[in-house]
Parts: sequence; structure tokens; C-alpha cells
Amino acid sequence: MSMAMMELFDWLSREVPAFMFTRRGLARARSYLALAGCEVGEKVLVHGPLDLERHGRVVVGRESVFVGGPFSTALHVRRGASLIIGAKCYFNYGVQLDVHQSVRMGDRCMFGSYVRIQDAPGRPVILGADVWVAHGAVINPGVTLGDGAVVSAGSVVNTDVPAGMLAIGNPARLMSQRLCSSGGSHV
Amino acid sequence: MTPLGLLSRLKLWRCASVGARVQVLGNVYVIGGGHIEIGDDVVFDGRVVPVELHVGPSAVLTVGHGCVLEGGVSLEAQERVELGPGCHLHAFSKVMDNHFHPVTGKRHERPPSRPVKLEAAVEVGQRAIVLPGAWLEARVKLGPGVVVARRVKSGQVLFTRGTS
Repeated sequence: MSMAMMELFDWLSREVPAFMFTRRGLARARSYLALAGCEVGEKVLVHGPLDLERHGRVVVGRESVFVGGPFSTALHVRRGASLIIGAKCYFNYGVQLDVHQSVRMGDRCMFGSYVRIQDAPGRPVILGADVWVAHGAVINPGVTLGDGAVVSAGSVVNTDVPAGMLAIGNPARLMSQRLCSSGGSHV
Repeated sequence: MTPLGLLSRLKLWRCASVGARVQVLGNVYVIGGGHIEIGDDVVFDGRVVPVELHVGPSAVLTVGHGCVLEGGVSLEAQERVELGPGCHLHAFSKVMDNHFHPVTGKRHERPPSRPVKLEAAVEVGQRAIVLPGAWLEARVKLGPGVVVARRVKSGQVLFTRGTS
């Protein structure tokens, strides 16, 4: 082994923390690289490809997870805009966040695959805590989702959804989550 | 066997059985470790976006003869999803037999699965979603963006409001 290699190993053992060599440590290091330039909390994980176009402020809360899959998740934050993601949020693959001014979401939000959220100048999007947006739903500019709101698969939301309500359909109508969980089907 | 046929079989090596003349264009994303049966003459067109076959352990996914699955199609089976012969699933459509999260209560507890069945020659439009418990009888046609979770009688055509 050459002297240069030995010096490199010496330097690594001194300077790089031991956790970097574990599988979890490598995953975390990869996650921080994928979110380079963002304000990232502890234990954030990015499992798949992430298309980050950051010209504004991006905050990712602790223990949030971006899941990998057949399509990359896209975070497009325009100049001067801000994207604030709460703690323990969960993003399935193919989620698209297109931020022109402000998108804020609370803690423990869940997003299914191919969800799209977009705002517009003067029409920010605000999501409360414990919001669940199911597969393929679209959240349009100016919408506010209250705490615990659920957006069903394939819905297109143009109006505010109060806390604890379910938005369903295109355009989305509001109904009680209790009615939905008691059974029934829809087209 | 043609080079394309050989390559297709290699891409589907995780499947329990693969029929004759199956074509995989682009990529297929197979995960979960469940039992997957692919019939003859099936086409997976994952050139723009991969096709996803997510079959949980002990789940069964059956794709019938002559089915066509376009890019971005996602089949998620946690118990049983069955596609009959000649089905055509357009781009970004989704078939799933489990909601993965309950609407009320503890969000991270997985609800029970309800098998999904698509009979012969069913057509599922772009971005349409077939939810747990759905049973689409023969020659049913779902328009773009339709969400269905019930039994649909043979030959019916369903569209969302505002389209014709």
C-alpha cells in the first residue's frame, strides 16, 4: 500500500465520524447531500432520487422521509419562495412540490405517490398537522388544509378543507371522515 | 427467442411465471417479494416512466394474456389483484387492493386488504385509480381520472363529471 493511501486512511479515521461507515450513517450522509443547501433536521432520510431546484428557502423537519420508487420526487422552489416541511413527514415517490411563494406543512403529514402541490404569487398553500394526501391528488394554489384533513386519491382540491374533513372527487367535495370509514363506495 | 424476449425475461426474473412473447420496453420496477404470474403476449411499456409491480409477501398478482400496461402504471397487491385477458391500463393508472392507511384512527396501522378483479378486456384510462374491493366485469371502460371502488357491471363506461 502506498504512503498516500495510508495517509488517506489515517486522515479518514481521524476526521470522519465512525457512524459514517455504518449503513444508516451512509444513508443519512446521502440524504444530506441530496438536500444540500436546505435547512435539514435530524434523521431526515432520502431513499430515492430527489430532483431539487432550490432558489429559495427550504426547511425539512426532523425525521422526515422521502421514499424511493420508479419516479423521482421533485422539489422546485423559485427565487424568494419558501418551502417549510414539518417533522416526521412522509413523501412517497413522484411527489411534486412547485413553490412560487410559500408552501407550509405541519408535522406528520403523509403524501402518496404522484401527489402535486403548487402555489402561486399571493396564493400560498398551508397544510396543518397530520394531513394525509393520497395517491395522485392535486392541491391547487391558495388552498388551506386543516389539521387531520384527508384528501382522497385522484382528487383535485380548489377550496379550503377544514380540520378533520375528507376531500373527495374532482373538483373535491367535502365529507365527514366518519361517513367514509363506515363503508360505501364512490366513483 | 429474440433478444428482446430474452431481455424481457431477465427484467422479470422476480416473477414466478412469465408467459410466451412477453415484451418489456424500458423498465419494470418489481418489489415486495410476492407471487407474480404474467400471461402470454403481455406488453409493459416503461420507456418514459417505469411500470411498478408492488406485490407484498404472500400476495398474488395475476396479469392475463395479452394485457398492455403503459408507463407509470402501478399495480399494488397485498393480498390479490387479478387482471383478466386483454386488459389495457393507460399511463399512470393505478390498481391497489389496500389503502395502506386508515382514514380514521391510527394512521400507521395497515387496514385489511380487499381483492381486486378486472375481467377480460377492461380498459383503465389515464390516471384512473381502482381501489380495494373493486370488481370490473368484462369490457368495462374507465375514463381518465376515474376513481372506482365498487363492482361495475359488464360493458359499462364510466367517466368523471365534465367529460363525455
